[in-house]
Amino acid sequence: MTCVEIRGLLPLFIYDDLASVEALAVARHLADCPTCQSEHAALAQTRAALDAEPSPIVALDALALVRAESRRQTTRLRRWRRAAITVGALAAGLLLVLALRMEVHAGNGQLVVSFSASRERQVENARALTASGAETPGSPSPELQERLQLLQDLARALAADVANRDDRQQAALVRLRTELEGLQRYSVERWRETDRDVAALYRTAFHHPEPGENP
Amino acid sequence: MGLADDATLMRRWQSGDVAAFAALVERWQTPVARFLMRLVGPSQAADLCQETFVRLLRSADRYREQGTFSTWLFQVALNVARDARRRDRDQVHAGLRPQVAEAVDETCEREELARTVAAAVAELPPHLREVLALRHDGGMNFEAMARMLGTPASTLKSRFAVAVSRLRVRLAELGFHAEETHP
Repeated sequence: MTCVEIRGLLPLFIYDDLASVEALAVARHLADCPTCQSEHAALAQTRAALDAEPSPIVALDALALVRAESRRQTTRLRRWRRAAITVGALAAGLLLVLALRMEVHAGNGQLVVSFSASRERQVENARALTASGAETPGSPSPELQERLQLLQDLARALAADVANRDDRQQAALVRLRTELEGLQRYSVERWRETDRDVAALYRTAFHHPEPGENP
Repeated sequence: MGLADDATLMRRWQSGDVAAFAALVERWQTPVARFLMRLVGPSQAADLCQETFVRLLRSADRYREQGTFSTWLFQVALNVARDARRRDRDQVHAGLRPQVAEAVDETCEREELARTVAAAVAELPPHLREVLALRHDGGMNFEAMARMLGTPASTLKSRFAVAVSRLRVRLAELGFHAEETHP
């Protein structure tokens, strides 16, 4: 091995981290190479310098650590429990609202909350609120009304387009159905004709007329 | 009766024996602090050592005897050091910068040497410093290190060789002489 190769291995050599074959090769080289010997000595001193650095002074109180951790876990558990109770209460409230079919209507300066309201009642409420909405101070501005009108027109146009397409598709379906029925009739007719032809052929080939019967 | 090994102590701690945990702390606090000192500098080592054992407490349930206890412990300490480095990268770096000029006032030759070595180590990039600390202070072999870091052992050996060589060069530049190491 060359000196360059040996120097690459020296850090591992001083920590006994080389395989025995490599370690032997390095040791043999070192015996005859003063330059690598000096590098080896410097690296060994580097290792010793790392060891010479004093350790930081630590005196951990294991029991205090365990106690603090235990307290932390208890607090955390309590916090989770609180959060779980809050979420549970919210869920219960939501279920209650759904179960009682609670209806909330706002408008005309009033808030109407009703439970298990009938469909008719709900419609009435909605109508009343819509009718009174125009006079209320909170009614939409002309600009907003214009936009709403635009949206309404757009929705109508879209609906008309959809209806138009639907009509066209319906007409195409009717046409296809008619063609299908025509084909069906044609095939039935063809089948009957074939049946008649086969019967005639059969009779011609295998039927022997009785005496006195016209052939 | 001889001292219980680490795995036994850990098993006892997992079943609630606080004395077993105390024994583990007593046994490993200095090696862990030394390892952390190498990674983040002496000023933070003690605090991070405590954090390491707190994490050990929290993750005791996850400990399985697949590797040695020390490998697991140094893995935890390494994660603590990495987190600390991320947290205050600039501060730590500033704290670790070579302070050879300030060391002139130091009368104790040993302290001066320690300061020089710490400064030289601090100049190594983190990936080299980690391998150096795991091998030199953690006493870990490269195969265990490879499993821990998910890096091939050959790569780690190369990094280690580079780290030691760089350290030698830097120590020479900082005025370190071979005979200084002997107390």
